[in-house]
Amino acid sequence: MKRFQADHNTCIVTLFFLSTACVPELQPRTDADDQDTTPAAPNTPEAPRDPVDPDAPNSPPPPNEGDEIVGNNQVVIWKRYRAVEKDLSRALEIPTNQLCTELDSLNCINEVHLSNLGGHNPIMQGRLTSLAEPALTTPLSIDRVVLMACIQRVDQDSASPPTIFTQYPLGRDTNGSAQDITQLDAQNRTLYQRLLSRDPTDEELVELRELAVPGTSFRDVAIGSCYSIGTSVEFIFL
Amino acid sequence: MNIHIHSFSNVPHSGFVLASAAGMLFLGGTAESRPNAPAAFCIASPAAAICQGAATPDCSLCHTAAPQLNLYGGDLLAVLRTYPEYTLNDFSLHLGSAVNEIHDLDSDEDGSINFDELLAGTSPGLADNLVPPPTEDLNWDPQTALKRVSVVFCGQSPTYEELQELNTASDPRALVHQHLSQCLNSSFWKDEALYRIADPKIGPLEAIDKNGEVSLANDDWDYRLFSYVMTGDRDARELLLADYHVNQDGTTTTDIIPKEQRFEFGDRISLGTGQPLQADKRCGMITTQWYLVRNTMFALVPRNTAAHTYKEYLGMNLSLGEGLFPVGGEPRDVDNIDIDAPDCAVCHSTLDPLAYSFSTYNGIQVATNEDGIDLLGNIGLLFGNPFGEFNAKRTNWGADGYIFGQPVGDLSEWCQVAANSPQFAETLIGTMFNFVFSREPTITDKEMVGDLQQELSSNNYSVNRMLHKMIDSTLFGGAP
Repeated sequence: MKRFQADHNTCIVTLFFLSTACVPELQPRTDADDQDTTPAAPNTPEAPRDPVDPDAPNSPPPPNEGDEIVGNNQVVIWKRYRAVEKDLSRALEIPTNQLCTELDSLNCINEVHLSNLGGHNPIMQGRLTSLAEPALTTPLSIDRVVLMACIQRVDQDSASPPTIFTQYPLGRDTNGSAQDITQLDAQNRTLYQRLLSRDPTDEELVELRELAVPGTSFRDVAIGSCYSIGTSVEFIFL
Repeated sequence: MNIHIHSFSNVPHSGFVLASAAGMLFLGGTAESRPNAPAAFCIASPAAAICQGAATPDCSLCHTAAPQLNLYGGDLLAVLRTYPEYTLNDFSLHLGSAVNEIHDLDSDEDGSINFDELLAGTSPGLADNLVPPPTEDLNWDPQTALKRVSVVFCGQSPTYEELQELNTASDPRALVHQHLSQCLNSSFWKDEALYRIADPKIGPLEAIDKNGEVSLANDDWDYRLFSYVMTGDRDARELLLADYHVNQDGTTTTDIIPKEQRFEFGDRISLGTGQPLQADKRCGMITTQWYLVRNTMFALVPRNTAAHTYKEYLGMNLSLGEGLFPVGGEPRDVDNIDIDAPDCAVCHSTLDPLAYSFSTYNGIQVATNEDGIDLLGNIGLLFGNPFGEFNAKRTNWGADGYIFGQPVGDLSEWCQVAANSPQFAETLIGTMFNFVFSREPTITDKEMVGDLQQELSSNNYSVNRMLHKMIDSTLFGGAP
């Protein structure tokens, strides 16, 4: 992967490192880092890398192949609960109170996953401060919220004239044709602009095409693309 | 009226209040602690980062939990014991020599010698507290800055269009600052972010808040005042100096606010709400009804109120041995709880004089007699609003206060000294720095913090102006 991780498990590993291994030392990833790296398919575990020399536990982790660009190596700012909520709501055009619920009634962001997403509620939780860093379970909460929001948007766009997923027919399977790829790239460009506020690079578009294995439904491709971009390091850290 | 401080022993729902009160009354030190050691250390090592500005070393420099020593403290003690004239009672006389002798050691074996760590501001006694890595050259990047400004202060990322506009702007930096100004006026910042920043200072408790089963005060006033003072280019010292309250509609008033809830004493108890204190006795956030009820409670010597203020607004946690300014002859044990015992006196020689100025302000005042609650004596609860009122006769030691070792005649004077202290400015900067970067400033941020202090003092303590300065830093907006 270049600038984002499409893979659920890698996202967890990445966040784990961010939360435990000296965030300021993270190094920008360069294109050269990618040369020998095979992109992981969605939902395929990628072996975690150990960034720290076990014989030198006090040393800051050296720059690693595979560490994503997260801003700069001096400071990383964690996009917390409210910005996650507002960004997803705006990008996917879903009201904030409908983005994600647990047990059909509990708000994911303001109730169930609030602490994991960097917030606190002094009355409901009795907590007076928020986490300084993401918790080990923060990736699970991010996954949950983003995935539910993406599924919701895709389902709504499947059932009525689409709002976001307008470039390909959600009701049919991909066939790997040139037309499919054109539509796919156009849709992913929209998703990048909506979720990351920028245009994708050509490399990023090529990587996202890997979700569209011929025979896969466009619905799954849409969910996978939305989820991949929405759980990227770039979406969560500045 | 003969008022006795009494627990709510026969009042339902109040057990937690007592437990909290008991737990917060004592901030004990130990007989082995030596509060004059920080001064002796800084005389010996004036270049140490921990001795710069208003800072003084706290117990953690040498101790894990006093009297247990950390690795650095252990090395110091080992050297001290080699001096024939050394005794525990006058050890600070020899501390300077011992400090110098172990400068070249690496007590915590983290690869940096003690002297380097003292200069850098890291702990020579904690192996996990490494000398920070050298700063990489960064350039302030408008895109990075705008993204961070939006997320941190607006609670939302910039749009694709906003970032495109930035790319074509003739003055991108000005555009970022314009965006920050909009964010600092947003409901997210004023009604959410600042409220969460205020939480540890206000300490809301649902059970005794306006909607609680035992409603003693309304902390909405506290949150509104905090947000008001911290916005609109207002003087942040008003956190400790404001003589006004902020109404729901955003206007201010110096009037006494009558009770907002009628008296109840049944299944639900409602005894407070409103703001009973007259304007000339107010000290901003720390004399609201909520603050005094929440922190003073039943205490004749409001130690918890003083210590909480000291920690939250002046950045010094007395329970960690920070900010000790022992006053001669203290503690006098004015409330007869044996607080003058040597184990207690270490901290209470600072804390008790710090608390005296709060003692003429009511906390939770309930009149009692031998049978428990004195219904006739509590008639004031029915017709008045005594919680948080000024009461000059409440104690005899209200004029005996000290702060930073300086005598003060009353709480108003206490607040003036506190609000104009470097500790207040540093704590204010630290609070905002922590909110933005999710960590405390370290020695590597020294230059930036100095700039922020300068910005604060030259702009009438405007938090907005300070934040504009903060986003100009490469720490905030820097990219390789």
